[in-house]
Amino acid sequence: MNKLTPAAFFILLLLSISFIFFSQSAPVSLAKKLIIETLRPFEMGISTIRNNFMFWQNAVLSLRNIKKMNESLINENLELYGKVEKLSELQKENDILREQLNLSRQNINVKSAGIIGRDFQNNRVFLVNKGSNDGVKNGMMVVVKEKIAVGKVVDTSYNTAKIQTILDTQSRIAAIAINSNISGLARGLGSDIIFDLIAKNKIPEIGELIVSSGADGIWRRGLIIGKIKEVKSEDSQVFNTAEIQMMINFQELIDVLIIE
Amino acid sequence: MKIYYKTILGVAGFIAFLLALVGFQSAFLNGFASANLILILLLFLIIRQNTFLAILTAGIGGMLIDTFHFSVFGATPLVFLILTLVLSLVRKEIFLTSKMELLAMASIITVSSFRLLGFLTDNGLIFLKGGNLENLGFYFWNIGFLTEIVLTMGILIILNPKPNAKII
Repeated sequence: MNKLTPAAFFILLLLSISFIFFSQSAPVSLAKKLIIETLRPFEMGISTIRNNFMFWQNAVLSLRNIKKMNESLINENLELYGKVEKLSELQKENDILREQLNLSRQNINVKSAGIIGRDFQNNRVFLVNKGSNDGVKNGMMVVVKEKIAVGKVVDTSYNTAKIQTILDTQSRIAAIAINSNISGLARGLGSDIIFDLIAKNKIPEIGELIVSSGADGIWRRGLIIGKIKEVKSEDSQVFNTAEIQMMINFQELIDVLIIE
Repeated sequence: MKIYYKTILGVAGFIAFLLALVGFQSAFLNGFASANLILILLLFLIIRQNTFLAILTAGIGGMLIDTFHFSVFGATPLVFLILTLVLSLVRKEIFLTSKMELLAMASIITVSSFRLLGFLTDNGLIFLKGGNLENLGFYFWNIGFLTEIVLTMGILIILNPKPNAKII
């Protein structure tokens, strides 16, 4: 074994360096896909156990509230039946009006995907169980309920995809404050996001919603990034900046939606 | 010939163990706690003087980690291999015994060195390829850094590795 040790070290060292410098080449991409596919069954199995564990942990911890919630949900459900009926009438009316105005509905292709792997605590990267075989491509947006931005696809394998979250330092989104119409750049800091490059004479309101503006040509317009938490305006700085409070806890995410 | 087969089977079994360990790290542990199981295994093997297995852990474990890590593919095995080399060289000075204080010191040195090397490698690659440079505070000035040291220390003390013990 001692004779093999230096050889193993240099082979693995050369492989690592080759992977870094030829990361875009076909053989490296293939090797990467093979490694990801080998690891996938382990991650799928363990993530299922994790989700079950989380479900039962939450169920046990919130047992007291479940009964109360159930009662209120029954009442809410009855109210909703009435609203659904009214909505279906409105939907019909809306369709007729759209047709009359000759507007075509936006055809958004949505894919639901489960998170099967995540980066060390920082939540800068997720691994999901949908890949190129399911039509997932690099650059696709990843969101959760109510169009809240999570990140974008940066790498795809046959059955998995790597998601770079909006927290990553390489993530930059052209954004706009929804009430005051102030534009800027939502930039990831690793574990937080800031609203940067705000014009010096403009100050967004605390609690104001920040959404993607679509000006960068990468991110779809209207995806929610977060709310303004604190505005920083210093005389020595050319631009104002603001801390963004995120709308979701990345660590609690289980499923996401991938949109084109 | 018999020994040859034994070695191959041993290495294959060890790689399967690494797959399970990294799968557990990515799909379970990372959602709850900040601990790098591959780094702990690496340190454990270095203290036990299983350099060959430590190198396999560094190279293959690093590649597996890079499938869900934010760094460029290949950066983590490189960091792990450099760390293995450095720790193997200083092993005689600091890892001679399995005393608790030495295990604690080894954990602090290893976690700090891994993060520092990671910071330097990531920023070096970002500098070459273009992009936003990483902040040093992200690697050290957070609760995750302290938690990782404590967990590494705790797991290592529980495992209590003895020098000169061979696995394969």
